[in-house]
Amino acid sequence: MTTDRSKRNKLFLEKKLEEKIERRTFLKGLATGLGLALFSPEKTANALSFDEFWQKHYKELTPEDKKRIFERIEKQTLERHHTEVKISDHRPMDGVEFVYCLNLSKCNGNRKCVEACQKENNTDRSFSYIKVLEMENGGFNLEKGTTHYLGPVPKEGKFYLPVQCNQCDNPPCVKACPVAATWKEKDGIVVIDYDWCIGCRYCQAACPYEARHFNFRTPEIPENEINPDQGYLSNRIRPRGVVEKCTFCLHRTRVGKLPACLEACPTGARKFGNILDPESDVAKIIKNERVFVLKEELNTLPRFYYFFS
Amino acid sequence: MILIMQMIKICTMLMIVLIIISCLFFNTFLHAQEDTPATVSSQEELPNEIIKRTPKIEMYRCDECHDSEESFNSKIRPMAKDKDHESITTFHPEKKDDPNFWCNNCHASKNYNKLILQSEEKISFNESYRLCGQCHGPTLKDWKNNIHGKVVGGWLNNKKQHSCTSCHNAHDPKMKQVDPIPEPTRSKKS
Repeated sequence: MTTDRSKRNKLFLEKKLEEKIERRTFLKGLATGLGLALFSPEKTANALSFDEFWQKHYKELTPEDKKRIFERIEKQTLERHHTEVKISDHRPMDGVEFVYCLNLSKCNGNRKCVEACQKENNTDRSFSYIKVLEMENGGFNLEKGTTHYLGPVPKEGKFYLPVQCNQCDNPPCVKACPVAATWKEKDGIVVIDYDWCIGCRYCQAACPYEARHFNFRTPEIPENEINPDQGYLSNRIRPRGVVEKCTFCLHRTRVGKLPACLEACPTGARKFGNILDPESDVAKIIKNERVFVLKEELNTLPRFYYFFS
Repeated sequence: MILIMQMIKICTMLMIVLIIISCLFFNTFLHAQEDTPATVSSQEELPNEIIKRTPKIEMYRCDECHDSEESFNSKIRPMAKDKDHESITTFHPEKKDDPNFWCNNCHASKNYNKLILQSEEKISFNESYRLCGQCHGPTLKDWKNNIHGKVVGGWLNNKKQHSCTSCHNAHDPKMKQVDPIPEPTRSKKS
C-alpha cells in the first residue's frame, strides 16, 4: 500500500519535473522583469533579475548553472548584507543516512541549541527551527507543553522536549508541495529549493511537528552575526515569502562535522550520526536504548529519536 | 558390625570436615570478589580521543606549590577552609556525613599531580573517568558508548570525547539549575 503510494508519488514528481512548467504569470512576469530591468533595477532590492526569474529547479541545474547562480547569490548577499559569504552545494555521501537521537533525561531546557541554530542558519531572530517544550513529568501530551518558560531550569517536576524537523522518511510536507520545491535527499534530509518555493504554505500545514516556518517579512539578521559558510539548500539567507526549516545543518554534516545545536548543547543530550554504520553512536543508542519518535501513529517515520537514559 | 559403624562414622566426619573446608574457601573467594574494586584498566582501548583536562585546571601543576616529597597528613579529617582553593567549598555533598570520604580517596598523597585509584594506582587528571567509574559503573558504561557525555569534532572522524570533569565539578558533581537563553520572540517593529 505504502510502496504503491510512494511509487505513484515518485512518478508524479518525476513527471512534474520533466514537464516544462507553464507559468501562469508568464507575460506579467516578463513585463515586470523587463520593466524593472529597464527603469529601476538597482533601487528595488527584492526585485527578481532576469536570470533569477528564469532559474530552473535545483534538480535540473547543470554545474555551470549552479556556479553562475551561486556567484549571483554571493554578490547579492554582499550588496544587501555587506558580508562576504561562500555558497556551497554538498551532495549526500554514499552509504550515509543521518539520524538524530536526543536524551530527554539530560536536556535541561537551557535553549543553547536554539541560539546556536539561529546563528548557524541565518534565521530571523524572532524564531528558531528548534522549539523547546517544557512538559509536565508523567505525561507526554505535546499540546500541554509550553515554549514560554522563564527562570532557572530544569524546574522540579518538569522535563524539556526540544522539537525540530524530524526529517521524516515518509514526509507529509513533500507530498503536500504542489511544485516539488521540497524533497527528500538520499541521506534522509528533507530540503527546500528556496528559489522554487512559491510560498503557498501547504507544507507548513502538512507538517505534524510544526517544524516549518514561513517568512512573512524579509529575515532580519544582525550583520556581524551572518554565518558566511552557507549551503544553497540549507542556511543561505532566505528571501521573504518562502518556507524554511531545519536541515540537520547539511552544509556541516555532509562534510563530517556535527550539527550546530549538538555542538552548543552543554548537557550532551544530543547525538548525531550515520545509522547505516553499526558502530556509530546513534546505531548503538537505537539498538540498546528504549527510543521512540513523536506522533508515531502518523507513519511519518521520523529520523529524530528520543530516549530517556 | 562395629567395623561398619566405625566406617560410617569416619565417613561422616570426613564429609563434615570437607564441607567446613569448602565453606571457608568459598567465603574467602566471595570476600576476594568484594575487595576487588571495579576499575578500568589503562590498557583498554577507548574509541575516541579524550579531551585533556590538565590545561584547563587553573592551578595545575600542583607541585609548583606542593612539594611532591612533602608528607601528607594521612589522618582522616574534615575539610578545612582553604584560602588558596576557594572554589573548593563542598566535596561530593551527598557524602559529607561519611567520615571515610575525604581528599585522599581521590588525590594521591605523595604526588599532588596525580589522582589515585582504590587499587593504589596513580593516574593523571586527564583520566578522571577511571576514578569516577570506580563507583559510577553504569554511567561509565554509558559514557564509553557515548550515551552519557559529549563527543565533539565530527560524526565521521576526528571524534574527541569529554571526560567527566569537563562538565561536572569534581568536588560538587551534581548539575545545578541554570538560567536559560530567552525564548526568541517577535519584536514589535518600531
